[in-house]
Amino acid sequence: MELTKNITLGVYLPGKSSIHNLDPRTKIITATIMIVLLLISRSYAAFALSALFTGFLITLSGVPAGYAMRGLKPMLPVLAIMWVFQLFLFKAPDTTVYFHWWIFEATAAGLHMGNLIILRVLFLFTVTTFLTLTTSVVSLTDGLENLLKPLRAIGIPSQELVMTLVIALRFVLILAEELEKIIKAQMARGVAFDRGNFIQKTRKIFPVFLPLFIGAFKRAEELIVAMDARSYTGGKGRTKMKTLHMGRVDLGAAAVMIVYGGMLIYIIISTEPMI
Amino acid sequence: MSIEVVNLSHSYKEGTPFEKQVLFEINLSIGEGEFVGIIGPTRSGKTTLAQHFNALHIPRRGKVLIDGLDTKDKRADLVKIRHRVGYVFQNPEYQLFAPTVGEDIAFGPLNQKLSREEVEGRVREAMAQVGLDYRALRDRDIFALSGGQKRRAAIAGVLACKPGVLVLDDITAGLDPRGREEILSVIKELHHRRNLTTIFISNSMDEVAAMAERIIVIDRGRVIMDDPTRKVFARFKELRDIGLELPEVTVLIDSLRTAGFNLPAGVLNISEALTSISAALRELEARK
Ligand SMILES: Nc1ncnc2c1ncn2[C@@H]1O[C@H](COP(=O)(O)OP(=O)(O)OP(=O)(O)O)[C@@H](O)[C@H]1O
Ligand SMILES: [Mg+2]
Repeated sequence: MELTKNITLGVYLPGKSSIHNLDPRTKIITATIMIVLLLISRSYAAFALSALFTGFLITLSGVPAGYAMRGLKPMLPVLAIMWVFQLFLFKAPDTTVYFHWWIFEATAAGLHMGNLIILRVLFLFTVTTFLTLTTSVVSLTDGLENLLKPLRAIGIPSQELVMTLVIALRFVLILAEELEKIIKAQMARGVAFDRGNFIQKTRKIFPVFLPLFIGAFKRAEELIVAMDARSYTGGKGRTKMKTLHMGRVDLGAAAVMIVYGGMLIYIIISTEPMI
Repeated sequence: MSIEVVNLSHSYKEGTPFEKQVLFEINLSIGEGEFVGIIGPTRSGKTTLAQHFNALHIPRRGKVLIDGLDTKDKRADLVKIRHRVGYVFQNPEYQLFAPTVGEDIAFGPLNQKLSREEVEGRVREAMAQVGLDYRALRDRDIFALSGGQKRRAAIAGVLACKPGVLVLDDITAGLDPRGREEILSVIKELHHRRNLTTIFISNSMDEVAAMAERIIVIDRGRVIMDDPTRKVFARFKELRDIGLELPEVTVLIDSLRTAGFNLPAGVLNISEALTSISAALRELEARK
């Protein structure tokens, strides 16, 4: 019984690669650009280039590729259901019909729509996971705070928002750990989580939620006390222990991004969209 | 019931960069009606090993046999194994998940699909066994219990499943001396009265000395001793080297021994110390 093994979002895998050494701001901006480009990609060729580039980054970082993708495993059933829904329910005029049954029609348009959505989710997830895998919580916070600082001028409490975001990210793993403990405790007294079909398993999950939420609130309360005890009063006036520096690696990264972005935009414009 | 562990190894986060092996080729067997202590310094792998006994962990390398049943066997009824091998978690906060004491204790029997009356009977019996007042505490909020009561409620929740083996994972941690005494006497009583096979995990040597007939010592994922209690205590220097705290009498008697007094090795408690010291003194008198 080990749930936390498949949680990679919010986990940091220390390393010494050039990706690890990038300024967090560079990584955050890069990830944002990659995500925006993915959201406007609509052709298989564009996704192929993105896959190549992401593969290149993962190799460069030294994060084992299997581990970087591992977090997708628990999502697979949900993705499969999404894909089937699109395949049968997405409607478009004059498209090839592969298969017809009662009110359901599997169409070419549905197939491509399903693929597009799955690809987007896959890439979104991989890019964000990759960002947290190669960036420690501290530098992620510093980077985001620094980038969002201008928002303070128009009255948005950016530092507090970043703090909230980072804590939320940390809670992914904490909640998974908590969940594992509760499931184990219930298994020890005769609930067969590891048995039955998908629906039976899903039904057994419900009695787990109440203790999970109680546990989460307790953890949150402890965190509040700990922050209070260290006189956290929000972002205003807080100074940094480390200052951020852009270096030669960051310049290189910018160059690589310009080449990749240019190529991808060219492909997006010049190729036929899948749907 | 008997438990047999054969060449068991275990790694956490296997197949990820965080992989860490915590059990190395463990071999041991625990027979019907035994009272075995498992001790080891913190993080030595006691909990991990214990959670193999009730199939919360399924071995990937090596195997665990419960009454001859292999937990790795696809056809093995794991739910039944978990009811037969009762496991009390190290941290009662995680073990107790229902809102009230009664509901929590009823959780196991309800999973056994017993009738309402039978479940209620089990709850009453289990609460009596651990010394919790059924009438006063049945509908009490779990969070309103004291540390010692929580422990007892946790044990009752496991006893209500009528296990043949009781695995107690560091159940006295964080209790005051009195709460500790009370829990220990409950456990002793259960073992004697019901001949329950009991596996008592702890990192306090004092406790294990007072409770167990046989001790298994674990250090960094390996079994380094597996002998009758006295024999293990006689090797107390090694125990101290791996970071275990020894009963003060054992240390005291041993320093007297090295100073030349004729005293036995591996003295476990004050009363034994008293008898052996007075015997030694009498011997000295006689020689004069
Ligand atoms: N879910 C987990 N994921 C990863 N590592 C774990 C997990 N649970 C335990 N470990 C690690 O396995 C090792 C053994 O832990 P275990 O809890 O079995 O030791 P223990 O002897 O019970 O310790 P303690 O006396 O503190 O209860 C420790 O190094 C611990 O960090
Ligand atoms: Mg433990």
